[in-house]
Amino acid sequence: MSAFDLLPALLRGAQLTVVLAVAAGALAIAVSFIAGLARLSPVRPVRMAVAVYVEVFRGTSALVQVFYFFFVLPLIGIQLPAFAAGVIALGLNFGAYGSEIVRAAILNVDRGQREAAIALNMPPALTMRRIILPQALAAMLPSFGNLVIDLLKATSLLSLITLSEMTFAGKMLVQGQGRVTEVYVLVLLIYFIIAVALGRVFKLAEQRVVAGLHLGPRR
Amino acid sequence: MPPAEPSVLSAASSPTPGQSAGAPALRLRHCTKRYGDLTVIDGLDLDVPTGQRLAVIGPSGSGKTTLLRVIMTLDKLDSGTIEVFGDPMGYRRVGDGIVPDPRTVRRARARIGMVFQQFNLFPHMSALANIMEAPVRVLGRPKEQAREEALELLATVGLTDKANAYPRELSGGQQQRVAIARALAPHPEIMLFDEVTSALDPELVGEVLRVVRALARDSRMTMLIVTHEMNFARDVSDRVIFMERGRIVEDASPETLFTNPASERTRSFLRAIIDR
Amino acid sequence: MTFDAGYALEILPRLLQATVVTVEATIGGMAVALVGGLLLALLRLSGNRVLGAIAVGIMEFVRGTPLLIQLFFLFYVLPLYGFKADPLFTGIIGLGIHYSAYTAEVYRAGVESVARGQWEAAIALNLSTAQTWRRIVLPQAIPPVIPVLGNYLIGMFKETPLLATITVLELLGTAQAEAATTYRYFEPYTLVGLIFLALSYPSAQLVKRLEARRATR
Repeated sequence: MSAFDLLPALLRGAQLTVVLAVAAGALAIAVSFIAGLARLSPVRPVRMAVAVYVEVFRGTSALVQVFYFFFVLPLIGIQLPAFAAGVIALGLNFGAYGSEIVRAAILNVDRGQREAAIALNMPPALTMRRIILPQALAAMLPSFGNLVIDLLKATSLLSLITLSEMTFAGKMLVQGQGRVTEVYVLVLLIYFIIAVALGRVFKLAEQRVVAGLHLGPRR
Repeated sequence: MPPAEPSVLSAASSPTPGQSAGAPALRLRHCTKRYGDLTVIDGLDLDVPTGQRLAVIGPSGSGKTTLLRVIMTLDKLDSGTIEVFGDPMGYRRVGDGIVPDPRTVRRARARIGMVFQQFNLFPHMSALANIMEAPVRVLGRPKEQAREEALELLATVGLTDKANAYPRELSGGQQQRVAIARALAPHPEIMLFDEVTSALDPELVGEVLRVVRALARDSRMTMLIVTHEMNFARDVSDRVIFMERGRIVEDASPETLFTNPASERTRSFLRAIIDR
Repeated sequence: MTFDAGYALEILPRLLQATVVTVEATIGGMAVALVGGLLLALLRLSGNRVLGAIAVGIMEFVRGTPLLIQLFFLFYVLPLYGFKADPLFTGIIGLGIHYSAYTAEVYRAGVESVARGQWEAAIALNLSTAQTWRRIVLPQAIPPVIPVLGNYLIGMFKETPLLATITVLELLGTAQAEAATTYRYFEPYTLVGLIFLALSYPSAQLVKRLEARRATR
C-alpha cells in the first residue's frame, strides 16, 4: 500500500475544491467591482449601504457566515443547497475584502489623471471607464491574486456543510482507513500545488496587463 | 505690444451663441477660495478680454495656480462668481440673486482647456490616442476625422514621428508638447497654462516655450499663462498680473511691469527672481 | 420564523463565557505568532542561504495551505507521535504557526524599510550584529508595522471558530452545541455574528486610527 491509492479519492475532492473556488471567485470578483465602485458613488445612501455590507462581512468570521447561510437561511424561508450556500457565503465574504482592493486601487490612481480628464470635459463615467479603471487594474491584480488563494483555502470550510471537496474527502479517508499522517500530508501538498499554480497565473496576468497597458517603467 | 483695452479687444471675439455682446472671455468677481484656515484667493476681481494673452506671475503660494484651477472647475470657489463669455459658471441668475446650478459647469468647461505642470498624459494610451480621446469620446467626432486632426496637431507641436509612442517612451518636453496638442484638440476658446515648464529639465524647456509662443502668435484663443519664465512672459503676453497672497498686487502691460513696476512688492519679487 | 429574543437572552451568558475562550485562543495564538514570526524572519534575513531557503519554504507552505487542515494535522497526527495536548492548546499552536508565516513577512517588510544608512552607521560605530539588531534596527522596524500586526490579530480572532472543529468550546462551538440540542439555529448563530462584529469592528477602527497617526508622523 502506498500513498498513491489515496490519490484518486483526494483528487476527486480536489476537483470540487477547484469548482467551488472558481464559482465563489467569480462571484467575489463581480461583487468586488460593484461594491468597490458603489462605495465611491456620490450618492450618500448608496455609499452607506455598501459600507454596512462590507463592514458586516469583513467583521464576522467566514465560517460563521457559511453556517449562517446553510443553517439559518432555511429557517427564514430561503432553502439553499449546500453548494449554493457555500459559494454565495464565500463569494460575499471575499467580495467584501475585494471591494476594498478595488476602491483603494482606484483612489491610488494619480490625481492628475482625473484632473486632465476634467480639463478635457470628460464625464465621470467615461473617465472611470477609459482612464481610471485601466490604470487601477494593474494595481489590483497582486492583491486579487492573494485573495483568490485565500479563497481556495477557505473552500476547506465548506467540508463542514457536507460538501465533498478535498478536506471532506480527506476526513472520509481518515475515518475509513486511518493513515492520518499520509492523508493530511497529501491533502496539504495538493492544496499547496494548486495555490502555487494560481499564484503563477496571477503573476502572468499582472505582467500581461502591465505590458498591454504600457504601464511599465520608463524605457 | 499695445496696452490692453478690454472693450476694443472683446468686439473681435469669435461669434458664439448665447454670448452677451461685449462680454469678456472671463469675468471673476469677489472670488475667494480657502483651504482650511488658509485663504488662497482673496476677494479677487478680474476681467480677461477675448483673445488676450495674460501672464500671471508671483511667488509660490500666491494663488496663481489656484486661480487657474477654479477657472478650470478643478476646485470650487467658496464665494464669488465666474462668467465665461458672459455665461455664469456653476450658478444660475434668479431674479436679483444666484442659485447653484451644476449643469452650467459642463457648458463653461467645454470652452476651456488646460495644460498641467505634470503633463498628466494618459500612460496607457499612445500620443495619438491621448489627443483623440476627447474629440471622439466627448465631442462625438468620427474616429477618422479625429485622427487626421490629431496628426495635424502633432505636426504643429513637432512630434509627427511620435504618434504611436507611449508617454513612458517620451522625454518630459515631448510629453508636455503632446499634452498641449491634447488640450487643443477640442478647440477650446480659452487655454490655461499652469507652469508648463516648471517640471522640465532645463534643456527641454525651450522646445515647449517655442510651441506656446507659436500658439500665442497664430491663434485667437484667450490664454492665461502662469509661469516663472520672466523673459517668456514678457515676450508672449499683452498683459501681466502680479499676485501675492491671493490678491492682484499689480496689473499692467509687460513693458511697464517688468521695467518700471509701480508697486514695491513687484519690484522686490522681480529683483529676487532676476538675481538668481 | 422570527427572532426569539427571550431565547437569545437565555443563551447569551453561555455565549459570552465562550467568548472568553475565543479571546484566550486569540491572545495565545498571537503570542506564538509574534515569536514564531520573529524567528522565521531572523532566519530569512540571516544571510545564510540554506536557513533562508528553509524559512521561505516553511512560510510559503504554511501560507499556501488551509488553516483547517493544519489544525486537523496537529490534532490528529501529533498524538500518534506522543504529543498529547488539550484541544485549546493545540488550537493555539495551530493558529500561532499559521500566522507566524504572515507575521514573518510583516517583520521582513519592517526591517527592509529601515534605511541602509542605519546599518552602515552601526558598522562604522563597530556595534556587534546582535547589538545592531537589538538597539538600532528592530526598534525602528517594529513600530511602523504594529497596525498591520493589529490587523492580523483581528484576522486571527475571526478564524478562531475553526477551533470548534477540533472540539474547542469557543464561541461557535458553543453555539453549535446549543443548536444541536434544541434545533434552533437562528438565535445562537445570529448572536455569534453580532458578538464577533461587536468586538472586531471597533478593533478595526482602532487599527485604522493607529495607521492614520503613523502616516502623519
